[in-house]
Amino acid sequence: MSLYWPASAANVVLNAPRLHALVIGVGEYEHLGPGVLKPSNFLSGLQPLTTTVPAARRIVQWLEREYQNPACPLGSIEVVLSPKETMTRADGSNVNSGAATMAETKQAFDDWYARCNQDEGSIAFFYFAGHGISTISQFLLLSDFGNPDLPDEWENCIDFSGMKSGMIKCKADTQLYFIDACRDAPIAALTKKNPHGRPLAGGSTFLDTVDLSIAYYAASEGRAAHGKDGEETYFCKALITCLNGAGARKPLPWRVNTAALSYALGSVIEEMASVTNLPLTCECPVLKPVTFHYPPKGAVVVSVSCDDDQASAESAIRITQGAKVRNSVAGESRPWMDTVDPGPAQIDLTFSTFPPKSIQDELTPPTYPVEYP
Amino acid sequence: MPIVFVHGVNNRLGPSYDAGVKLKADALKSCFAGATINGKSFANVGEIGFPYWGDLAASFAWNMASLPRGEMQALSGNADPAMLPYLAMIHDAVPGSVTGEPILALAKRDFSNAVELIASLALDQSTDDLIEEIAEFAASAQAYAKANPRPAWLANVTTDDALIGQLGLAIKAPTPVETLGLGKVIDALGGIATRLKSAATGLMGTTLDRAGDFASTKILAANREALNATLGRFFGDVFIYFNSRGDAAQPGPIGQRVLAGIDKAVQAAPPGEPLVIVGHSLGGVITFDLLSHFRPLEVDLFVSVGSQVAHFEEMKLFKNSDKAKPPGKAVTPKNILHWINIYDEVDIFSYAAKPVFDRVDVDARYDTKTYVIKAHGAYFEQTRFYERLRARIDAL
Repeated sequence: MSLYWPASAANVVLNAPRLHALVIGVGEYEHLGPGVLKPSNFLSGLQPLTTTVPAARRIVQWLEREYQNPACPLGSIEVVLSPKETMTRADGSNVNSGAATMAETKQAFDDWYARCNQDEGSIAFFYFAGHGISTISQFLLLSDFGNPDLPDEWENCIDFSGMKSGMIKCKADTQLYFIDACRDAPIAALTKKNPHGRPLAGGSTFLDTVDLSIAYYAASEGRAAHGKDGEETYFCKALITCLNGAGARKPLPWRVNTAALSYALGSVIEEMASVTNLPLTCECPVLKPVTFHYPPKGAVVVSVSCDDDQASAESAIRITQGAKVRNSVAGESRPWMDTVDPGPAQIDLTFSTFPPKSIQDELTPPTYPVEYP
Repeated sequence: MPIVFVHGVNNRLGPSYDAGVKLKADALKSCFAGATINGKSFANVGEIGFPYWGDLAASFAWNMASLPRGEMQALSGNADPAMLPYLAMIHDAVPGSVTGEPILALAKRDFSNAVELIASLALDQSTDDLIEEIAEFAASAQAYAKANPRPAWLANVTTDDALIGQLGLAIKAPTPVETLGLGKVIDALGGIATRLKSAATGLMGTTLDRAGDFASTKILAANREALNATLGRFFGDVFIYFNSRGDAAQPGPIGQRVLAGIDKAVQAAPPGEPLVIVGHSLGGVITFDLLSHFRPLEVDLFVSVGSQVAHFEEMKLFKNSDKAKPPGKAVTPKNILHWINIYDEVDIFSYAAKPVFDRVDVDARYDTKTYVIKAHGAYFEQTRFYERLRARIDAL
């Protein structure tokens, strides 16, 4: 049983538009990783992940506590994790996640699909964080992937491209997929004959009635996704930042639509790459703008970078927005990045040996990069 | 720290050369750290000099078209020639294993040897974007194998790919940022392992081998093209050096290049540190020729590895060779204070020095555990080589 919210399947609203989520976080792999008892015959060098379960957990919490859409409220959240864990809902009650094995994921998927297939106005929300590879399709590796004892060693792997295609038969008009996984193509996978996975959905007819089916990828084709050990993945952090306002647009109330989210994710990831000096990428297509979330306010990711190491070390940063003042004193981590409110702002950079710089401007989501000089 | 490495034949700039230099530089620094030679110690392990002369060496106007390729290609079928020496090594160590999971078969027999083979494959096949990582992998993997000669996880592994993956995970250094993917080095090595298996399949595809007979002679036959090419380049580089070496008043281009590298290292080193020159293959010959005639610089330690110094002295090819055979052995130049010569009996380009020269501190056999063609280039790819060398230095 992997239903996280509501507490009982009987309480899931099926006769009205709802957002139904399936969240998968795979950190431990039974056949991948150092010293596993039965290592996979290929891709065995993939390591256990410490960032994907925290990422999945954060997405679940956001859906439960921060998602806002009067036209399509939260309907249900299915969660499978590896390792599975006891999670605490917003009301303080505990619930066990499902395990991110193929068997439990398939069950969670079937339940999720059935709910999404009830009402055309519903939103299907799919989030996967774990190992992924991209060859002839985007494959997502579940926790029991690569069992050398199985006749088909690709069995416990999701063919995401096939799944997304198969989901066109689902009634939910808006289908959002977040793939927080690598998209590189390991030679070991390329050289295997017929790499494949289970699409979980299929049998669609030629008719495609889905209004919007969009996949947001944590890496561009051929690239890797990353995360800081023990924290959420960078893509997850960027996604939450965007959902919480950096991806929002006016008119008021602030709203996040699918196209603005694409643009914002690209912009925020770009700033993160600059600050972390990591090769972070994402692939987020700009398709039909469908509004699906109303955050309480917008947000702007401000970043400050200096092209001179000495200036960077000396820099003191102040952002003034009316009575609100945010300071970062010299010596703190650089380049600097933080999230502030939209609206008029004064940004002051001061140095002990370099000339100061002041900017007065209207800050609008998603990002406002400042470069010195 | 005046340590200079003079490379031998068959060295040409490229990712494989660069990865090899990185591995040698790191390993030589560790090898000489704290060493005392002639009462002189290294205060600091600095940069190692690597004078490069490969661009001055032999080139082939018709790209070695004179090699009798047709017969050899027929013998090796569709096998990737670059992989054949490795298959031969595996066959020699574990006969009959090349058609299954060849690296794993070797690992189950001798894990350290398999790791050396993987490291050598990685260095051979290095690419521009992975030079540092491959060199670090080669060193780390061998250090791991030394500390874990039979890791428990090896019993559970059933494919070459899984072996490389598990090895990669075992030596992975902790990093603050994790990647949701395989990592470039392990990915590349997985591809190389696949090429090795394909080469074995290619060998199987030949008429001769359909009987499943992988006799050493057959693999040697399939390797003849590579052997011929290696020999061709060896003799080419030798001829180029001897034909253009000039004399003490006007050294030839290769000599000038190497001497400049030595001078640079000496000038950069703190006073009082020993001068060490390591010469590999023809690099040992060039170094000996330079020290004995062109520049009688006092060298605290001359290390010749897989070299032909004594062989060429027998032919009286050095500028300083006494053309009339002396009653005893040839005289080692006085400015070479200590000399360690290392050879592998399997390396057909390597020779002993003590039977010819009167003053050689150490004439040591070292088993690269490789095959005829691979042995000559294998010494400096193996971290245990540097450990043995250090032990010899400490015993001087």
